[in-house]
Order: sequence, then structure tokens, then C-alpha cells
Amino acid sequence: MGMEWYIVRRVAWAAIVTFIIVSITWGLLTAAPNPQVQQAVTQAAMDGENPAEAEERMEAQLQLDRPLHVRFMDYVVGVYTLEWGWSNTRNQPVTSALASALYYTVQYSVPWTILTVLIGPIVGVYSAANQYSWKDHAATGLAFFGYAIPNFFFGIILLLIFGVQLRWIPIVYQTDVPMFSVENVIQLTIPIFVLVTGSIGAIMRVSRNESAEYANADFVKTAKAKGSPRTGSTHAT
Amino acid sequence: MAGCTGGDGTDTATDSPTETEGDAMGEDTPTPEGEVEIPEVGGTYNTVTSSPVDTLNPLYNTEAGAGTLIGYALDMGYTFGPGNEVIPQLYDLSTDDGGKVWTAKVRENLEFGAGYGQVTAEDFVYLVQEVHQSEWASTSAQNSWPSEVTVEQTGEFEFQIELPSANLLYPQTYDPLLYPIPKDLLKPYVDEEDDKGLQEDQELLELEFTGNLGAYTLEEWNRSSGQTYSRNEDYYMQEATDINQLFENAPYFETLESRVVQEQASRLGALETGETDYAAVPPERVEEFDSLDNVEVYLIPQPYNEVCVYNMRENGWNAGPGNLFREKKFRQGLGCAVDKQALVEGVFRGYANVEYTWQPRWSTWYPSDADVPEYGTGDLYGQEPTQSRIKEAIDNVEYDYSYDGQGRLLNPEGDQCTITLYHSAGQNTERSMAEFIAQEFEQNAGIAVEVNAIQGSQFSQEYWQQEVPENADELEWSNGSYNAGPRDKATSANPWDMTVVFGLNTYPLNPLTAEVFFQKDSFYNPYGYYPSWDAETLWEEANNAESTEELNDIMSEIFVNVADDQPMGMLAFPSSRSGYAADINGPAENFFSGWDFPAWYREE
Repeated sequence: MGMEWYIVRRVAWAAIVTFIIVSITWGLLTAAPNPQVQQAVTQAAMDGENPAEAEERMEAQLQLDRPLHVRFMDYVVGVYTLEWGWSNTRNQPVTSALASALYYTVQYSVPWTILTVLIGPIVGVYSAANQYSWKDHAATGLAFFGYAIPNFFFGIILLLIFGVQLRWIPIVYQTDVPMFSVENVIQLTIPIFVLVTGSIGAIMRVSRNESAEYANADFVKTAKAKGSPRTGSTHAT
Repeated sequence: MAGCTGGDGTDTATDSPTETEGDAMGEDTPTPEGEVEIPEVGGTYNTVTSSPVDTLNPLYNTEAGAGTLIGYALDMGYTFGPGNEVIPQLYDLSTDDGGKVWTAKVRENLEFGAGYGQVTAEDFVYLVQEVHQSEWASTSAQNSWPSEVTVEQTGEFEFQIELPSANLLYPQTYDPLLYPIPKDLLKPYVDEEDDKGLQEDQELLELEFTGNLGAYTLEEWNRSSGQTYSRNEDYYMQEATDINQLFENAPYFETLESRVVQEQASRLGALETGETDYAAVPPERVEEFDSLDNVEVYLIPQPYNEVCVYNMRENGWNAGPGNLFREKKFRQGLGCAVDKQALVEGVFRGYANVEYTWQPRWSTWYPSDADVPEYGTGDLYGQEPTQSRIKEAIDNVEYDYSYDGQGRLLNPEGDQCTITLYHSAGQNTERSMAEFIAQEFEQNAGIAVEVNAIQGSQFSQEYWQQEVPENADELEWSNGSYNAGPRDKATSANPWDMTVVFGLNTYPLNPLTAEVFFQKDSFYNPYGYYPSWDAETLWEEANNAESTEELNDIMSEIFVNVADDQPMGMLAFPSSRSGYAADINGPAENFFSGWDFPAWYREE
């Protein structure tokens, strides 16, 4: 009874919270002026036509002329039944838009995540094992550099160096190359590099501090005293 | 550089090294004379855009960028070529009764794809009557086809458009410009009055019906990264060699790729490395790109102006009592305060032309023979001409404004007049322009100006548009939020003095559209301008003109009046700076560049 009831309560609570969030989001979206309507009004006025009529027409087109409760119900039912509707900015179903974008997102986000999870802790532990050496300073410097420099700026700089000056990589991303091909690896290298340097900083620092804390722990000392051939950092990890 | 639209800021002939080589209107004959060598077909034309497009549905698109992308695969009824010549594409428009009834003769070699058969006049008439003129479809061309305009099929390949009143510049209004859409594609939606279905129709969105109606055929639209097109070997304009001999085997690229590259540095990098054949070049990098062997920068005149708008409504001029902006002499004084030549050379780096009235100087409607006062240059620039006019203006108002010994304009309380000037946040050129105006006003008019950045949408909502008064019915007029009523009665939520946030289109092909900006009771008068000249009569005469010559005379008079009345600070027409791969043959430095895009080719 105990655990089941706990799970039921948590799930129910999660449903309520998501409903509240969905409702607030709808409220904010509804309260904000609609840019498409504004644009239609401005255009009509500048064309010497009646802006009020243009406003009504655009509101009817976007179905904003329906009563608020109808729009709210429509929105909520749509969200929970995965009827996410039609994307006005892409003119395709929202679910298709997500699916097609996912194909490209996966290509850089998977290597990015793997590399971040691998490199961050390794560099951090290495730093901890070689505290205050030039290697530690170099690793720390690199971590802070990646953390501090904005990705969009770093990306442009690398693009100018490797794309424009050295011409090693293409400037414009080619969507038509096969996912598993040398061309794709080449064109994804810089984006992934920028993302990884931007995100390993925090992980690396946490790993370094955590490892440093255990570098002098009793069990590490004991291991060393027993003549363990491994370095302290491995044990600390 | 292949020439320039007037790097000295005026497009008159001067000794400047960057002066106009040809004519911005492109008076040269559009067709190359003599025997023309037909280029080989091959390769890819690569282009970039700065943002993805929302839709490629020709019936619902409202964006210029998407219009270009649709245009690669689907021509419209006609276009304009050098010298403002109407170039018939799908149909030829003509009138023989002074512009009331227009006859469109449809070409007979037009074929839809996807099994929809030949294009006939019926397709156009059905589109107008059942879709554009319907109440349910809400297409983007709806406003072009009010119910008073009647469209009638008069033959298999001919239809007539009858206007409620004659308009000699009807083609120039772009109103009769139609896309060809198959009747059979539209019919199910018309029967059901299904606007949503029409907007989301796959064949319309992916341009699957275009047959031989465009130079290229859309192969793929990848929503966030761009479009791929292939050559249309049956392009109908191949028969239009009377217009341009190069159409004979057009188009000349096997494929056309348009890619979305949102970062400007990347677009420019791609232009430099040859990955794209086109990218817009910012003013500060024109020289650098033009010096590259593989790039040529074209300066293409634009009809969009840069204006400093004065708020003549009740909540404008917050430096003291009354509203000095309402005084014509005061506005003329402010017109003398800003050195337009220096503005063009300093802020726009010479890649703009000075503006004196509501038309660019290269427009055929520019009052060339009349005496347009050139405020902001020569004798009409400097402290003396500014302050003498402002003194005349303040003598004319009931409040005690005056100049002190240091040339500062004081309000009745004895403090220097200080006003605000808004510009769009994040727009560097606009900010520089605002700061330059502030500096010039301080120096020449003795008015202190605070320069404030604001988001364009916020300015539009809270400052530019007025709140419609509750007693709107009792007002002399109330025409929506851009002119909610007379300037003493309707104001925006927040007070403001001046703005450079909005540049406006001067429509050099159809100057009649300017009426909306210069009538006190029009649909667009956020600044509360009341002409001191008889605008109503002149616009009425212009709208009823029976010949081009008559219209020209009236428009000249109007534009001289506008220049004299200084409804706003008319400052400059920036040129568009287009970088093309040097081996692309086709671009030209006139307003109509691109009209013959299917005939562009890569030189060997």
C-alpha cells in the first residue's frame, strides 16, 4: 500500500503541475499581442486600407475570434493528445517538424554528450592528480576558456580560421551528405568541438574538486601504503 | 566596384570616384543588341538567405524573401524591367480606355504540372472570383481584389479586369499580379470554403503543380536549412526571345540551391570561399569584398527611406508648451539642421543617396524640372538658416520661446529645449544616424536631444499607434490605431518627440500610394501631420488623371509641396549592397536587377 500510494500521489501531482504549467503558458501566450495580427494591421494601414478589418480578418484566420474557454479547451486537449497542430513558422505538422529536426540534432548532440561526459571527468581527475602543476593549470585554463567564451562567437572565429582561411571545413552546413560519411564528420567537427569546450568546464571543475577531496582520504593513503601501483586518482575515482 | 548609385550621396553626375555609372532606373535597353551567344547549361547557382521562410504557399505568402524562393519555380503575371517597362510573363495587360478596363492576354504555351493541364484564362478568373474575392479564404492578395473590381473571362486565353475608376498606373500597383493556380486544385477547397485546408495544401506548399511556369522546379524544401531546385528544361519563357534573347535556352544552371545561413559572418565567409554566389554585404565591408578577385559588389538603389519623424500629436514636443513641430517654419528649420551629405558619407559610408522629397531622385516621378528645396545641403544647411527659420516659427506661437546668446533654444521657463529621439535597439547604423541627428540639432538648432534605444515592436505598440478614444464616433475621423483621430484628440499611450525607428517605402513605380502618408485623415498618420498645402485636391486630381503627362505634372506639384512642407526629416535612401560571385553574369546596378534572373549564367 505504502509505496504504491506514494507513486500514485506523485504521478497525480505531476499531472496537476503540468496542467498548471500548460495553463499558465496558454494564458501568457493569449495575453501577449499576436505579431501576425500586428503585422497585418500595419500593412493594411500603410496600404491605405482599413486596419480594423485587417485585424478581424487575421484573427479569424488564426481562430483567435473564438471565445476564450473554447480556445483554452482546444489547447489543453491538443497538448495531452499529442495533437500539437500546425506549425505556422514551418507550415508542416509540429510533430513532423520535431521529427525532421531530430535527425540533425542527434548528429551533433549524441557525440557532444558522450564526449562531454567522458572528457570532463577525465580531465578533472587528471588535474586533481597533478594539482598545481602546469598540467593542472593548463587544464583549468582550457576549462575556463571554454566556459567563458560565448559559443556563437567562438564558433564564428573557428569558422573564419578553418573555413575561410585554411578552407578545411565548409562554411555552409550540407544537409545532403550521408550521416555516416567523412564529409559529415568534417563538417560536424567544429560545432561539436565548440559545444564540448563550452560544457566540459563545469564538469571538469566539479570532478577536480571532488577528486582532490579524496586524494588524501584514508583509503587512498592505505592503498598507497600497501604499495598499490596505481595512482591515487584512480582510487579516488 | 561595378559602379555605384552615388557614393557621394547624390545621384547626380559628379566627379566622385564612386558616382553612378548608369541609371538607377536602368534606362538602357533590357535586351542585349545584336547576335547573342547562348551560354552553356551547367553547374549550380548557390544562394543564401538569413532566415528560414514560413511558407511557400503562393496564396498565403506575405514575405519578400519567400516570394523570391517561390519565384524561382513559379512566375507571376508580369514583372518590371529597366526603364520601368512592364514585361509580360504569363499575361500581357493593356488598356485602351484610359485605365478603367484592362485586358489580360494569357500566353498559350503555359502548362501546369501534376496533371492539371494547360493554363487558361479560366484559371485566373476562378482564382480571383472564388478565392481572392471570397470572404472565407483570406489570401494575401485579398486586398488587391475588392468586390468593386470585376473580373470576367472574355476568351480561352483572355480576361478583363474592370476597375471602379480609371487608374493609369494599375499594373504598377501590383494589384493585378497573379500567380497561376490550377482551378481543379482550388475547387475542393472552394466547395468546402476550407481556408485552413488551402493554406496547408501539400501541392501548394511544395510547389508541386508548377509545370513549365518557372525557370526551376522545387525538388526539396528542408524547413530549416533551405531549398533545392532543378532546371526546368521546358520553361515557357524560352519562347520569349523578343524580350531577351538569352531566354532562348534559359535557365542556365542545372541546379539552384538556397541555404539558410543565419549568421552574417558565415554568409560573408561563404561568399569569400565561393560556397555561395550571393550574399548581402554590410557597408563597412563593401571595399574589402569588392577588392576580392572572385566577388563583385553591386550597389542597387532601394525605395526605402530613412526618416526622422516628428510627433505633431498632442503628446509630442515635450520640451515646453504647445507643439512646435506643427509649425511649418520650425520643421523647415530642423530640415536645415542636419547635414544630409555628411550623414550619407559618414553613417552610410557613401552607400546611400540624399533624400529631399518622397521619391528617390532616380524615380521617373521625381519633379526634375520643378524647384525642389534641398533642405540639409548647400545654403539650406547650417546654424543660420536653421535658427532664422526657427525664430520665425517661435514668433508665430503664443508661447515665449527664445534663443540665448549661446544659440540655445530656451522654453518659456528659460531652460534649454530637450527632446527625445528613439531608434531601434541593436541597429548600429540607426543608432549612429540618431546620434548624428542629435549632434546636429544641438549644434545648429540649439535643441538638446536625448537618444533612446527601444525595441521596434514596443515602440509601435506604445508610442506609434494611438489608443482609439471612447468617443471615436463623435470625432471628425477615427481610422484605426495608426490614425485614431485628429491630433488634438487621439494620442499614443506614451509621449514621444522624434523617431527614426521606421523607414518607409516610397513606391517609385506607383507614387499614388504615398497619399496615405500625407493626408490628415488617412489610415496612416501616426505623426499627426496636417498638410499646409491643399493635399486633398491634389491627390484627388492625381487619382483622376487621364494621361501620364497630367499625372506627372500633378505628382511633381505634390512632391515639391512635400519637400517644402517638411512633414518629417527626409534624410536618405540607403542602397542595397549585393555581393555576387564575379563570374555570375546578370546582376545590374539598377532598381530592376533580377527581373531576368532565368537568363543569368556563369561565365566560363
